[in-house]
Amino acid sequence: MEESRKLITPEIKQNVDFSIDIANRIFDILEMKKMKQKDLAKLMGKSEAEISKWLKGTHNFNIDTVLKIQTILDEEIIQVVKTSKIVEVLNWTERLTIVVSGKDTSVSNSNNVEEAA
Amino acid sequence: MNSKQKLTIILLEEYENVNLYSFQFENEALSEFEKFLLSFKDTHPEDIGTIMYRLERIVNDGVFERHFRYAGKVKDRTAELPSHFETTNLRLYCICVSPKILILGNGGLKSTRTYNEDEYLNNCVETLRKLDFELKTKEKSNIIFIIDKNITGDLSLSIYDGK
Repeated sequence: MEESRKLITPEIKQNVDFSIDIANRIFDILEMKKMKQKDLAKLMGKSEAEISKWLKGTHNFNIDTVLKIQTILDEEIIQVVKTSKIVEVLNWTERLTIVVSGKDTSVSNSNNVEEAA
Repeated sequence: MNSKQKLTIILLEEYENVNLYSFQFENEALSEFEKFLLSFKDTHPEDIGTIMYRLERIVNDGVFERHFRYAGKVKDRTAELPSHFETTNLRLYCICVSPKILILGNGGLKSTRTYNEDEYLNNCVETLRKLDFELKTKEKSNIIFIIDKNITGDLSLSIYDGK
């Protein structure tokens, strides 16, 4: 078995992890929302067998499918890492330093941020 | 006439949450899973690497039924582990005994629509189905014990050719 384990490449790990993690995330969301596979199948316009295949962690998901599942379930499945930017905003009364990172943008003065961005 | 095949269930690897078992026929030097690896590691290294890594995830996450495709009949626990996004044809057959116990069997390249149409693959699945049946029978008779992630007791079994 050790000899065969040497055949695991970083690419294999990435592929397997990606598909299993997406499958597990969808499964967890369904459980959290007390939904069955057939409910997701109906909402997606797919067969229950197709959804069952997705949840095996061997499906090569495309972005469109993942986005559609995210929209239908109203939950995030994958997060895209965005490069952080320091946006300096000058206000005539105060100087703010705002870190823009993904959707965790804590801004109190939105007009100034739009201008600066 | 039905002929008898003797085999022994053997512990392959022990992990914190899951134990991996296979089985070895009498007078053979390797377990069925080792035979599977040996048969395909040189010709299908990516598939074997993928199966090995999927097993690594299974021993860490648990033996979840949804990660397998059932291959036997309704009442048994025989399952199929596809190698890679179901785009290649290498299949490994196993028995999902519990969320903590997996018995790995043999497998091969599926070139027919169903495994039943391929004599070799059908034999792999049938062997596992018979082993699963014997395992359940011996468990009921208190000859074999399945406790947590361990299979203990008399692990020498016989399976019979024919239905």
